[in-house]
Formats: sequence, C-alpha cells, structure tokens
Amino acid sequence: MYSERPDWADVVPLPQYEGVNPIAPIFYTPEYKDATDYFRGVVKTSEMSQRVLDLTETIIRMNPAHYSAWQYRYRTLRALEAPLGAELRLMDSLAVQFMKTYQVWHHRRLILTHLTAPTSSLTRVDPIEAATAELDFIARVLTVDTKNYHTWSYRQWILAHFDDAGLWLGELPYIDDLLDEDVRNNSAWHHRFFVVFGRGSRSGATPEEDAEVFRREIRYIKDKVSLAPNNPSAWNYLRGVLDHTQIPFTTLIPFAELYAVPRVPASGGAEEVIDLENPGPSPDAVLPCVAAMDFLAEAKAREGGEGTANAIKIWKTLADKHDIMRKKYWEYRIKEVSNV
Amino acid sequence: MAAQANMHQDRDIRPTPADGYPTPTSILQTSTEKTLQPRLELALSDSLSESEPASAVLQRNAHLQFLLRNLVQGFPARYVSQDASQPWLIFWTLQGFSVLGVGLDEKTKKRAIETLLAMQHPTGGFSGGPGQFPHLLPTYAAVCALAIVGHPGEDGGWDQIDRERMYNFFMSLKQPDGSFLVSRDAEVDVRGIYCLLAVATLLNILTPELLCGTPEFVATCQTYEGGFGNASFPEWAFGTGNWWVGGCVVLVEGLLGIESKGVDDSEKKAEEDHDAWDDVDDSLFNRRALQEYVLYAGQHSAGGLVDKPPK
Repeated sequence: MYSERPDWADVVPLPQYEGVNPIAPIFYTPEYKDATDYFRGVVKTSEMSQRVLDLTETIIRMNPAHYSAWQYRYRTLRALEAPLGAELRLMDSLAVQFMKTYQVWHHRRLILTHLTAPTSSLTRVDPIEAATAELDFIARVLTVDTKNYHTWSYRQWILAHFDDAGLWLGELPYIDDLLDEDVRNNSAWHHRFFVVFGRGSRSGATPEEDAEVFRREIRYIKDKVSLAPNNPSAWNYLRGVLDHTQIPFTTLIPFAELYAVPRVPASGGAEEVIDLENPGPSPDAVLPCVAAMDFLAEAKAREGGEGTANAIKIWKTLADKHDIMRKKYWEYRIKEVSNV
Repeated sequence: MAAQANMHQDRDIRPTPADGYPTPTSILQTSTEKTLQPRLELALSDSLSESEPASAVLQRNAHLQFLLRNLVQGFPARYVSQDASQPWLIFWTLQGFSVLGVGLDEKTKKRAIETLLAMQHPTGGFSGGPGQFPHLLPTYAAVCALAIVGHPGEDGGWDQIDRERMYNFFMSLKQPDGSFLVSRDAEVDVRGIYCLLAVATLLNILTPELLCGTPEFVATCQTYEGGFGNASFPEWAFGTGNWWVGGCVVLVEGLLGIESKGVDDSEKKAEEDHDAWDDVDDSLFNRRALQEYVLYAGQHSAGGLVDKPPK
C-alpha cells in the first residue's frame, strides 16, 4: 500500500468523495482505494516522475479500463522522455489480460506514433521494423480472440499509418489463413475488404490489374460460398465487392441460382455437370440458402422490368416460408418496389 | 413432416445451418442456440395457452430489487472494472427506475445529484469518477442521469452544469476531419459523437461551429455491409456504431428542424416529439419475438436482465 511506503510520504492522497455521501458506491479493495487516492494526489500536484509510472501501472493492472491512468501515464512517459520501446515490451506482457479494453490499444498507437516520428527526440526505431513487430504481436493476440474489434482496428491503423508496400503484401496470405481456419470470421472478411479495396488498394493500378483483382476475388468468394453457403459474411462481401467495382449483381445470377433452390435428389445414371466457373453446393449444404435467395432477389430487382416481378416472388417465399422471422422486412421490400 | 414440426405459427425453430462444415463461429452459435432451446420451446408452448403464463411476464419486482440493491447498497468489488464509468452505473440504475415507472424520494435524488456533480470536471465536461479526466461518454451518462433526477433552480443539478466550459471541452476535442476525440489524447469514436450531440442538444449548446464537418465524418464510417464502424475504415461492429449513428441522425435532423421554426413553435414541437416517441415503428422487425426473447431468455432469476442465459 502506498500509504505505508516512506518514499510516498510526501504525497497527499485524496479520497474520491469529500463531503458527499455517494449513491451506488463501488466497494473497492483497500489496495485499489489506496492506489487511486494517491493517483488523485499526484494529478493534483501535476507530478510526472518514475514513481508515477509505477503507480499508474499498479492501477492499470487492477483496472485496465481506467482511462485517466492511461492518459496520465502517457503524458508522464512523454515528459520524462522515457524509453518507449521498453514501454511496448511491458505492454506486450500485459496484452492477453488487457486485450478487451480500448485503452491498451490506443496506448500502443500513441507510443508507436511517437516512437517512429521523424521529429522524435528519442533514439529512432526503424518504422517498418516497429510496424512489422506490431503486426506479429497483433496476430498473436488474434489467435486468442479472433474477432476483437479493437485489435483489428489497430491492425488497420498500423497498415494505413505506415503505408508500406511490403506490409500490405503480407495481409492477403494472413487473411487466407484465418478464413481457412474459420470462413465465418466476419472480422477477417472486413479486413480483406480494407486490404483489397480500401486503404490497401494501389491507386496507381492499371485497369487490367483492377480487373484481375476483381476476378480473383469473385473466384475466392465462390469457393468460400460453396464450402458453407449459409455463411452471411461471404455473401455480404460479394455485395460489397460488386457495389464497389460497380459490376451489376446480374452477372452473378447463374452462381446464386445454384444455391437458391431446394436440394434436387440425385437422379440415377445422369452425368453430373461440373462447372468450374460456378462451384455448386456440397452434399451437406442446407438448401435453399436464404442469403442466396436474398442476393438473387436483389439482382433481379436491380435488373428491373420482369426482374421486379421475379424479385417479389422470391421475397414472398422468404417472408412466408424460408425466413419468416424477417417477414416484415421482406414485405417492406415488396411494398417498396410496388410503390415506384 | 420434419419441416412442419419445426414451423410453429410464425416461428421457424430450425438451428442455424452449418452446412456440414463446422468452424469456431458455427460451433459457438450452435452451443448458444442449445442453451436457448428450452426457453424458446417454453415461449412457444406458452403462446398456445389461453391464459397468460407466469413466464411471459416482466418480473418487475425482481428487477426493481436488483436496481435498489445497486443504488442503496452499492456494487461489489468486482465492479472495480467500472470505476471509470460511475456515471453510467448511476444512469443505468436511474433509467431502470424511470422505465419501470418508479420515482425516487427527494433525499435519494439529492444524493444522486451531489454524486453526479462531483464528477463534473473543473475544465468542463464530466469524468468517469471524481478526480478523473473528462470524457464524452461519461459526460453523456452524467447529463442524462441529471436530466432524470434533477431540476432547475438551486441544488437541482441542472443549473450547476457549466455549459460554457462544456462547450469549450467539446471544441477542444474537435478534429479537422469533423470527428471528435472522446477525451484528451484519446481515440475517435462515433459513439462519442452521439454523446456530444445529445448533451449539446439537452444543454442547448449546439452550434454550426460545433457541427462543422461532423455529418460528413459520420458518413465515412459506413462500411460495405451498410452498418457503421466506430471510426473511419474499421469494421462495423453489431450494436456498437449503429444505434449511436441512428441517434446522431435524429439529433441532427432535430437541430435542422428547430432552426427552421420560430420560438412560438417550440411548444408544438415538444408535443409532436412526444407523439413520435410513443409510436415505436416496428414495421421492419418482429416485435413479439423480441419481447419473448427478453422475457424468456433475458431475465435473470436474481433480478436484472442478461444478454443471454448462462450456460
């Protein structure tokens, strides 16, 4: 306890509430109350010293969501011109315990920014080396929690901030590995979009290169859909790709139709036609697939004309039979096109 | 037929299909659905009965007791993780009472007001607790809590909110791209923008200067799925960005509406607003199913609500 330490005797600890009988109080442990009383004490005197770093670390270990302790720690690190590389290593060792909190990721971002800034007064670290180490660290954390929102945001910030071709290049193989492990990881699909079409896309690409990227992505999506057709992530990604590249949904109708029909019993003797361009559902796939029907209806609705009537038919079967929980949504879609 | 057995009135209780290709996501989904299955079956069989079964009822008293325990006795040590969210603990508790139609006595209200005001920062805005730094999210919670429990005039809490310092606090967080940091040196978070807009509306400190570039920034947070991420380019997280953004839209539209009307219309507008909030628009979702989920799967036996039943 800080109250028992002679090297803290000069600091006046401040209780949280003075002259107020708070409602809904939290029953702190004596250690937490003690540490935060001393935190309020050093903030009052604006002390920024090594012992403040020790104190804020103590608080953070007990409550990683204490954003004021994080903020004050960062300001103290800067004021002391403390070695930020060492700070990162300390953060690494606390990573698994803390990864669910915003603050630990934002703290890393602040440190990385300053550590690699050209104007930094510290011994400069090679930015790409630092960024590569961060990507490795992030990948390790993601093995524990594959969908952590803050972790993924931080990875995207690293890539965008350093904007190095070599770093970008490593992402697609990484995403492929993650989607091999779990094709339903929506965070990985989102990261793919970011890398392929978002900040990661090369602005100097030729139309031919763009077309090849598009073809590659469509092939990829089709393969993943055929593995697990009822995976909404793949279909949402498909829609995102088509909207972004402004390719009409109608071009994918032959593919979607394979998944939008009930399973047809195998007819004895007939030769099965395998279309490499349009891989079909596996024997265990559950058909018809709602996401495929949704896509098909969307494609036909956008086509207009006769397509609208077909879209309405599909929405009706979704509302009445295949996706009745969202009945009102499908009826809304029908109403929308009927009012035009 | 198997298909018929799974169709129940307007419900389809088939498990989410895994297409014979299990992955960690589908395995977790299946496990969660298994936990919910008995509750769902009870809900469906109850819906067939003539009388109103006990389970289909909000356990009002149990939830009130839960809220009262928190308010009066306080929170156990494990809530230290919420130490930087004290205004939220108070707001959620007061909101709960408000929604359940229960008023607080004057003494408790006074204590609540004093507790909340102790979290107002000298330089403007509210913090997660006394002596912590001001932050947009606890600012929202504190001001909303004061809105519930306070009143104008001496010791009412409302007039003790320093509006000028609050405005300066907001402007100190404003970024060139129209976004706001949630706190000094902290992250940009679209939820913070909603909190700021709500508080600025409640305190009547919305200005064009405050809003400059903000709608454009919020628009950049929309992803290919149609939902909204916390800031530009990270993923849409279900339930995180979306309802906050929805709130932003309403508030910004409200600002534009108020600006175009004269002072005399303010009373009429207040009436219109009341009516609008009375009619929940459920034209797109299955309201009954949502109610049943909350009643059958969301109520904890010791009082309070949970997001899903424990395994």
